[in-house]
Amino acid sequence: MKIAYNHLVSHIQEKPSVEMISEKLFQLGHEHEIQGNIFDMEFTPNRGDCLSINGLLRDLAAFYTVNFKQDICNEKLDTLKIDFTNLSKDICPNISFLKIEVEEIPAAYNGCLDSYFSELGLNKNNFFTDVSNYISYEIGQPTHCYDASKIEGKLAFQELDLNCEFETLLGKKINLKEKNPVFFLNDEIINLAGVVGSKKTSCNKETTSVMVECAFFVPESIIGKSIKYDIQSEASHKFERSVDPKCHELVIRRFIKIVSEHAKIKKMSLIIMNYQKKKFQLILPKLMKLLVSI
Amino acid sequence: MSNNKDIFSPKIIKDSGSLHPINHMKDSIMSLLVSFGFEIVDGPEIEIEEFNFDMLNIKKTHPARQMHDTFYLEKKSNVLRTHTSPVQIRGMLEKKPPIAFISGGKVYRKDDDSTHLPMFHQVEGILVDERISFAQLKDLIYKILFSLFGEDVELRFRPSYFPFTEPSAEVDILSSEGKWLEILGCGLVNPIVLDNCNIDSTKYSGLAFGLGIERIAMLKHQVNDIREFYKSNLDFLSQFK
Repeated sequence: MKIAYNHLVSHIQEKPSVEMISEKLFQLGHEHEIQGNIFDMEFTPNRGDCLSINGLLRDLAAFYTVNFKQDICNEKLDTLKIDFTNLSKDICPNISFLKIEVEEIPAAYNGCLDSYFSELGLNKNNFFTDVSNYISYEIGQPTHCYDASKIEGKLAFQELDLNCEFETLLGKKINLKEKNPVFFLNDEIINLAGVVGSKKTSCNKETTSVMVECAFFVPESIIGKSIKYDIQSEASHKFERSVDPKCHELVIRRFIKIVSEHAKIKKMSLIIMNYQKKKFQLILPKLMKLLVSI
Repeated sequence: MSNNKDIFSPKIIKDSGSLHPINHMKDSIMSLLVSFGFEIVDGPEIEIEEFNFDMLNIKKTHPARQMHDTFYLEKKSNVLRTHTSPVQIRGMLEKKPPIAFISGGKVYRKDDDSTHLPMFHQVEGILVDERISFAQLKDLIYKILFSLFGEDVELRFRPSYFPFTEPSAEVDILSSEGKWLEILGCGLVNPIVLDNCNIDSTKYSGLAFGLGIERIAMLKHQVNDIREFYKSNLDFLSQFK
């Protein structure tokens, strides 16, 4: 994962140099290569929490004074009315949807969104997908953007045994086989969950109304899928290493804030669904064993 | 019959053979470790998943267990071992502490480029006894690397992650070009692994380390492409006689 030095140092009070941060990253166990002002990070599989600017800053806070403050939308949001059924709550125990409509698509980006593309030398897709990619880079939570005008009818999520063709948003046709977690729109697959969406519901440069899906998928359901179908997916890389199941509201409010910095929002509404039962069982012998090992 | 020599016929090389540089390196590292008191144990190259992954605390979700990293055999019941650690599991199940094992041999992963091969060699060691500490591990690593690269070599320990050791570290050496090069992985044996092998983790602790033989050979002999070792190029191989 590539992370720009300027995106880290802008949150660090001491303003350390590239070399100083590099040395601290090695001390933290984060292998990387330096390419100019970019850290090409190679995280160990147990550090899915570090796959973002905020994640890495949390670790660097051991050495520096780090300011995590990122503006979010603090408005009260209407509840989104959506016909959604989750048929595999064990696979997806937390899911949220945000519907947002803007007056017009911005001609250019500013602030952190502009810096994300210029510092990392990335190509732009379309406005909402670009915001989604930036949020994933900043907070670590992948989101999926559907063109809201194409989402009419019953939406459902389920992990199923499949044997069918699916066209990804990049136009690649793949044969879904065996167990796959997928989203359906009126019984048609529109998203291979956590990996890639379909062409039929994807956003384009004219999209002004978007449905943002923000979900937690258990890593076991996602792992190996991008390799199996030969799809480059940063989202699946993150879901495989686990994401924060409780970050949805922060992610969505940050998403709205960045959109609002670029365009006038006409309408927005949100629904957050948590199916996870809050249970905590303290197993004393296990705890003692952990304490002994420390 | 002509007395003229055929100058185009290939020359018959009558030199005696010698050990392959990788075998030579493996043997010398194992001899060194035996001199420190380690006992050599051996195990199969075709392993059951339980010994290669489960007993070593490698969870089902770990990337190393995916089809793209591991050679699975016979409908996923067996694997070509991805490291020599399962040999140590077998050793720990057979003997009770104090134990000091080393195992060396071929391991298999789905990798193939100038620094990785689908088959390569490892030497791994484990020491389990009462009150084994990270200080002892560091001391041992220094001794091994000083023996291999000389006492002037500069080392650094970096925190890392292996499911079977906690804490874990990777060790780098400073090359003559001023670059840090990863040379081995090590750590204190995860108590879960000891428990899996019926060793009381409240009484015993352990240290473990693993070295990639090809990597050490590349560094020692300044070979840039790992594949050179396996091209059967006698001009290349005879340099290491």
